[in-house]
Amino acid sequence: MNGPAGGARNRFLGAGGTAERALALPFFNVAVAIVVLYAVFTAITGETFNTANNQITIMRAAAVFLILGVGQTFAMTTGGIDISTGSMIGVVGAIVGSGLELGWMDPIYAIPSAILVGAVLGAFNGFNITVLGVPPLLATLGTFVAYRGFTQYYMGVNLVTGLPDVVVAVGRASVLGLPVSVIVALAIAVLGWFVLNRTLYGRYITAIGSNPSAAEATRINVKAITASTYVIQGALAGVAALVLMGRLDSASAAMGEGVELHVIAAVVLGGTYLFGGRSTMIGTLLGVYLIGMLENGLIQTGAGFFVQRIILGLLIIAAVALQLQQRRSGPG
Amino acid sequence: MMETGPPLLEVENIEKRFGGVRALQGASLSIAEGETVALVGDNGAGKSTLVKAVAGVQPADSGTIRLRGREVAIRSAKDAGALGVEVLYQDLALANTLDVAANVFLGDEPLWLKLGWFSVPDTRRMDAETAATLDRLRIDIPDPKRPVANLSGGQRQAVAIGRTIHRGRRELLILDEPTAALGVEEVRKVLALLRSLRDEGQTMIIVSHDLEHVFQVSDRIAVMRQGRVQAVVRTSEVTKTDIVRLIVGDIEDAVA
Repeated sequence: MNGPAGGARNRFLGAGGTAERALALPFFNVAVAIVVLYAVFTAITGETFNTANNQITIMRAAAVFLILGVGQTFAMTTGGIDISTGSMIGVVGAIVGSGLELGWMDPIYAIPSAILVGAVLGAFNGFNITVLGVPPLLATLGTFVAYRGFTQYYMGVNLVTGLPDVVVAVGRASVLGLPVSVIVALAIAVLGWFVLNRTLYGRYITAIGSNPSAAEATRINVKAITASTYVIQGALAGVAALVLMGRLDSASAAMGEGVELHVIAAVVLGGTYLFGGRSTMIGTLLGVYLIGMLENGLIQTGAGFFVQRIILGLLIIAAVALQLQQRRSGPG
Repeated sequence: MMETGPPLLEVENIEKRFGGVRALQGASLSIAEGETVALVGDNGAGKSTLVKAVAGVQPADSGTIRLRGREVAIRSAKDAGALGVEVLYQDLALANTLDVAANVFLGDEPLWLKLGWFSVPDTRRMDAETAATLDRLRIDIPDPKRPVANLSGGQRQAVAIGRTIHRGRRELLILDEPTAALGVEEVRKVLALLRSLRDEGQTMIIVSHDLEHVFQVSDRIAVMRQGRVQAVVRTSEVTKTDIVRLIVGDIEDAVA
């Protein structure tokens, strides 16, 4: 488990070999990558990249990925994965969005009901994974398809529009120059850091990912805790759906498509083990920023959407390959 | 050994099937308080199955288990834990990426703030108590704040034993192959640790293939064959050859 940045740094300075350094600072690679890329983009774009405004643009675009990255970090710590996040966003958008538009849902309930619907969708993943024993990758691949199918069936080509102010504010308003969505995302990340590094929950998901039978033998409720990471991821997908709906002031059948790839790439790039047992919330934050920066910089340097997809996909492979390499050479 | 009151553990006529295989066919065993009993036998004799039945990991199909003369139902590891039966598994049940104190207290942390799953453990107290336990068992771990993956096999075994006995509730401690896969020096340390536990009056069942180690730490030896405890002998009254002959079935219940 990762201590706070200070503790990690002390261990970093006190440790000997390179493998131990990597262990002490799992987000070391991503931090280096950020510095290098930042310099490269600044050089290429001639300063339009390196402005406060552009940094806020990056953060606003990345807020959704950070919100989901916190839940993904939890699931991945247990050795799991959730690739249904984008589809959960779609379902939440369809149900809550149409409820608001057609008037059968009062705007007061928009936020809690989005979180609740997301949590229920996540609970279905958790049930399939822990009670039925379906491997997380396949369980969430199933709901990735099924939830999106539901959204398309329910929405058709319709677009929900004219959302209430409270939802639009989540996506668009700013406080002291910072978008509300960024503040919400950062608050969730801080809470996630605390839960991961300071509470029993963080310890237990780490133990589960590290050695499930050890966790079972110590009478930790492995199934309930594992399932709960998917419930949390679902609830956070509800929050992310609100941010997206608010930003676009609409909801469509395609909402949230493709976010899962960004989220998984960010978490793995940040240094969280795809195989469980080791994770870092600071790394997730940095990974989300790296990917946000990469996309923003690529757009500014003229690379199109398809080039971004190519780079994103290859990045995931590179990050996992790097982890496998470190796992072979280092302990743990 | 002086016997006062009923034995600590009495296992009577335990049966366990796996499909068509009768792994335990009426196994019985009795252990006095403070005694160390080694459980030996060939592969497939039922040692692990018997231990798992007492530990609740694979509950018995039928038979009776009594603790201090009182019949108990052990249907799960949780039941066994509540009764003070602690098991140390062969596969070194440690969470590799957590540190020593986190492993020693895993699932049983003292809390600084109580909030269910989101409780905050009292890490300062955990570190201090872990250091005290390691000290008492004369286990030397230079840097207990590192993940246990970095420790040697013997140190890891010691952490696992430290965790098991640290729990306080330890009527009976079961160790499954505690010296397997260790180097010579580490075996020596683990055996010394087991002897110091015995000197503290800890009741133990030690499952082992290694008769040399069994003779060094046990008061009595229970020999299993074909799903039954075929003989229980006092360690000081037999030789290794006697035990080997009991294991392979050369003598039938000769010294029982």
